[in-house]
Amino acid sequence: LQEEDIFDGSFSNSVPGSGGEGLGSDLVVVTRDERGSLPGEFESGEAWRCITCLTDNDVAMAKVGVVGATGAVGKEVVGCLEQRNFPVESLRIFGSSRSAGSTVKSKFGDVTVELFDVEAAKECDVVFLAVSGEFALEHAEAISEGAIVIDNSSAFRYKPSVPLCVPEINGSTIKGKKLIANPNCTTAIGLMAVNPLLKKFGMKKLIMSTYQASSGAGQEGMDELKEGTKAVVNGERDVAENKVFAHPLPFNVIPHIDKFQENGYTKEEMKVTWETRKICGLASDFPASCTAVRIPTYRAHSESIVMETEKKVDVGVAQAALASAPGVKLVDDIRADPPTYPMPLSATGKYDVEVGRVRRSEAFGDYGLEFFVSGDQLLRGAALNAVLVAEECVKNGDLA
Amino acid sequence: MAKIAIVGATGAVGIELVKCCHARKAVFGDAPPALFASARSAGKVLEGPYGPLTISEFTLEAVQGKFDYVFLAVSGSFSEQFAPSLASSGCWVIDNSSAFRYHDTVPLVVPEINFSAIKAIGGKLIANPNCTTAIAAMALWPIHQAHGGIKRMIVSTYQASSGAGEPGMQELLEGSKSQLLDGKAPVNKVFSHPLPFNCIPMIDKLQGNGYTKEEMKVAWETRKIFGDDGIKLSCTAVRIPTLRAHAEAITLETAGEITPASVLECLRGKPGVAVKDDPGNDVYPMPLSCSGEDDVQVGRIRQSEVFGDRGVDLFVCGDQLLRGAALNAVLIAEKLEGDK
Repeated sequence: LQEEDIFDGSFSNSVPGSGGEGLGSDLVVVTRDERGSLPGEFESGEAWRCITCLTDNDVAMAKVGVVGATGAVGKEVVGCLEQRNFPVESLRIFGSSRSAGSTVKSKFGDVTVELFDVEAAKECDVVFLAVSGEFALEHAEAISEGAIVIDNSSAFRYKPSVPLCVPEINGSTIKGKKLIANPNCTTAIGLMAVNPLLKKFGMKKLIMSTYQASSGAGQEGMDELKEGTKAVVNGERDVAENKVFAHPLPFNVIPHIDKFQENGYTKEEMKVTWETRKICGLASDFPASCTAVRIPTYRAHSESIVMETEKKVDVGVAQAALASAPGVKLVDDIRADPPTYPMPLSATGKYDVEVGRVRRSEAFGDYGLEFFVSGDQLLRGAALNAVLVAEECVKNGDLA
Repeated sequence: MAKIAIVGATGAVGIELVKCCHARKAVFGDAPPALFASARSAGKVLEGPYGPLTISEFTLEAVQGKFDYVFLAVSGSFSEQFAPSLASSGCWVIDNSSAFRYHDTVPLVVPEINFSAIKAIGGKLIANPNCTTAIAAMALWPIHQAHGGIKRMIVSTYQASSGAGEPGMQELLEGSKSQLLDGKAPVNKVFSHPLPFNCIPMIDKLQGNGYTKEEMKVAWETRKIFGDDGIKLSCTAVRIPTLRAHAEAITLETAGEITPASVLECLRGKPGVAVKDDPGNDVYPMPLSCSGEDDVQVGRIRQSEVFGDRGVDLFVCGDQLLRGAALNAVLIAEKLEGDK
């Protein structure tokens, strides 16, 4: 018995980002064989697109909890659960005393925010943490005694026993695990493009410069950019005010994200180094460097990436590998007028990370590739990746 | 005293040329430069530090042989048409376009670095470098000299809208206004896409090797200015929503050993370079702090995680209209005047 599941294009109202652009281009026809498992082309770890089959009767429904659902990331987690038809039996939302009692509308019903409580959270099958590292340090392990915890903070990312997961890359590392770390946004977005190329050509060095959006500092960061830019363009101020960022961001760039480390890099930059090594299974001294710079955009991070490779590169082969990589969209048509390339404007609100400007490196010659990526920081950089991790748990049979 | 002409006086670079000349009245004298532009702008009055100046229509007859220094802040095709005649008429011609930069017979000059190329090559036509190149070169030349040479350089840029002139800056400001104040999507004519809250990873046309011309300019011109064809250089040039200062994230591999301390040492006291590197106090180069400033700012200096003791990462920022164009050109003239 074969069934074709075609996503019918209907979404809930919470389409993220610049609404309307939504997910229409991600339609995919999925065919299930009679055992209910997915065909070979959707192997473990690959990003599923708009899978309605998860709501089938033979997939158990899950009790889902989200901690911090009223923040930018938490909101997107709920949005992804809705759009991807995650098998939610019930949705519980936990918050601080500030948001407890308020109502969150969702496809799964109106949910009253509960004051966070470890025992209550443990009653869930899977809990998404979209809160601070301090919170995660205090509660994540306790919650994971009952529920699978997917933590968006950096608190547990470097603990050897905790998998750090981009499902398309190392989805197999989460099997049987109760506490899973969601990677740094910049890293997750960049590695979506790096990984297919690393598999084709090997990688000896990685050098990245970023163009990071204000959403990395949450809703407050986006608001500060918006209000500050308004005040400058309507003549109220020459230079915007700043509280969230170390300096005014409108019409500026700030080469400083997170705290400075001993080695002169910032923690954001070292996260890219550490997490690339862990997610891609590279040596603990693999040479990777990043310059992390905040620029005045809202929610899509862009990155200029240089890879020194082990094998001689072929741009056509590289482009084909990227075009066929799940979760990646090749935007690299040099014959179009104007040529196409990734941009925050087009990547915002989209699941896929855009990759373009693919070329043989002038710095490393035949053994180097350079390219440019743009990805929605709140989606692949946070919520989407977390929900894909949960979907991987469903596939593994680890959830309920 | 020096007789100066500025051709292309109404553009963003032209306006800065007037200001830079005025700032150097002690060298050039009090007389204001003669301003030239197209017939469309002839008769217009430009307000500036010399007071109101009237613009004349450019003709070869009006300029050739009549000035000590002619600054060209016009298109490459204009330069191609008129620069050689102006130079052979006896004027020093300092051309801001890319028209002659790669000619073997034309020096490409950052005065603090390779002023001597002017005499070495001969002739009176001098090319002013690409903005992104000149800004980086100010910081990198002392490093190149002090560490056995830069072998490899990876540059990612954060380029301001002024690179597309006054129309570029206006398009960014108007677009931001219409998006934020009127709730309307920004319109784009100068840039290929709307720039507000966006970034555009393509500046100038694509070349055969997949790089853009802007990116290759940085490679070609850095090698020419440093007199070193062996430097492997890769640039990714990206337009971002800032007004007039370019920023650049640079990774360097050097032939000799290098440390942040040795970098600071070689940059100390270098004219035109200001070290802004105090992370503990949130001090690093930024467009907002270097706009309108003559000096190129350098900071975020750190040992490279990729090249170890043969590499550093750093961040550079410079006013695109000053070091990136007008200031560099006027400094060339100033030095020529001093050599007289």
